[in-house]
Amino acid sequence: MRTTGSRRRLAAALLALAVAMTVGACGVPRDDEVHLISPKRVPHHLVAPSPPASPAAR
Amino acid sequence: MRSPLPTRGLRAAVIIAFASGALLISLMFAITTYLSTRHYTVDQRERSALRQAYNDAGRVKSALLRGVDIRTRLDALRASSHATIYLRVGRRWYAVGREAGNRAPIKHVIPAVRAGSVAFSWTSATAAPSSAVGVPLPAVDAEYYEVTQAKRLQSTLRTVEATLAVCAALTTLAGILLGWFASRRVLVPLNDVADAAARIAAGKLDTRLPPTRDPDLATLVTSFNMMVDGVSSRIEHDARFAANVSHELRTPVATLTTSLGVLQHDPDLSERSRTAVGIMNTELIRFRQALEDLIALEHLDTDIGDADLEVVAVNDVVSNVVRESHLDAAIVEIPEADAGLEVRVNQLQIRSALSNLIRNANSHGGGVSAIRIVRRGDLVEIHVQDNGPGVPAADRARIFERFTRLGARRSGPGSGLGLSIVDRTAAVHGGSVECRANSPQGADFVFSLPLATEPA
Repeated sequence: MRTTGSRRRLAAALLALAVAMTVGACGVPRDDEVHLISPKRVPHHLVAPSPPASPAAR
Repeated sequence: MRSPLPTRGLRAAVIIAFASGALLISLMFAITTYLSTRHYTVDQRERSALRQAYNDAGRVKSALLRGVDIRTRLDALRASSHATIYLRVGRRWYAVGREAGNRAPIKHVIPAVRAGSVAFSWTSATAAPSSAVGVPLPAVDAEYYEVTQAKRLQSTLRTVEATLAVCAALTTLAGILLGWFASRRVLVPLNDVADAAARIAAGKLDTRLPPTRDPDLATLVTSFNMMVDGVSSRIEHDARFAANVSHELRTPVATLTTSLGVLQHDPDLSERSRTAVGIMNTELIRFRQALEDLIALEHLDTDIGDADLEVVAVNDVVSNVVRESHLDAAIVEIPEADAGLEVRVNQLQIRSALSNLIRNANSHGGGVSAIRIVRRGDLVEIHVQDNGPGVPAADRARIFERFTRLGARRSGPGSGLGLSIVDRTAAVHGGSVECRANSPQGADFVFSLPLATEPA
């Protein structure tokens, strides 16, 4: 059976954990984690394999 | 196991509860607000960095397709965006900007860009927090990288952190203040009950809590007043019963005493019978004393009226009692400064109380060694001291209870009511009596009374 003291200690520990996690997440990220951008969000003309044909070539 | 920490009072518990609640709520709000703000601003910064990189990469690609000097184009981009730009064309690398000599900021995104994807990362390779974007340009066999510092984002997040921390601290402080005010308000009725209980314990049995319209307190007030009604009616009933019994017994006991006196002096009585009659007479005298004391207590229990009070000099009252008790007047000690102290009392009751203290010292303390009159602020203390065995510290409060007789005193003379009469007399005059240890040995009974007026 949980006592009042143990409940208080658990609550204090959870609060300290939340504060620690927030402090850890503070500021601008510097994690070097690479995010690949979905091709759907990239302008097509940038990643097209060859230059678009000019109207004069048609 | 008991906690080594001292037990918290109700008020401290209320304040701690309010402060903890305020701290918890403010922390939860602060954390939630900060995390959502950070998520939003970082996301916006990522989108902005990507948009800028797409634009700049598009310009570089156009320049490469049109055969414009790439170095000039990169310098122009650098001037407009304040970013560090890296460009690989075939096997050749170009770089302009603050971190131009260092390719570490983009080392994590290079493999992804080589694999044909646009990649983004927050880099730890620069002094200031920076984002790195890599865009493959397969049409011109090139890769475009842009590293942008996020100093403004960092400054914004620091401002948000400081603001939220200050808000959380202020909220907690507000919680403490609120708890302090709330506990004060909550404890007012409790203090009223405690005060009323103390007055009742001091003998003011007519004390009641004032009626209230507060529905939360009405039950407490009603129950308390009913309890006091019940207790005072019981006490009154008991006192009336004791008084009636005492009065009813007074006459037959007087008759018995007289008869025994006559019998004791009968010349025809055998020696054995005379001894028995003597013992009976002694016990009857004790019984009579108990009855007289009970009647005296009953008179004290019915409060004294103002008409019975008179202003008298303390040393006169004490001197009279000393004379009546056949004691040497020299045992009375009064500092010169305290010689004219006066009290407003029922003189007969005070004299009776002091006589009881002297009788007590004679019976159990080997006789009075000194009577001292001392002023203590608005009180005058009359010390009746003896050099007897004294009273154990644990029993010093108990000896004023009715019919309390300690150790060897059990078999001694007295009804066990003398000190109760002293205690009650002091209480009805707004004073007190206590038993202390005398130095070097014995007991020091301190009978305190409020002073009537300031001596000149």
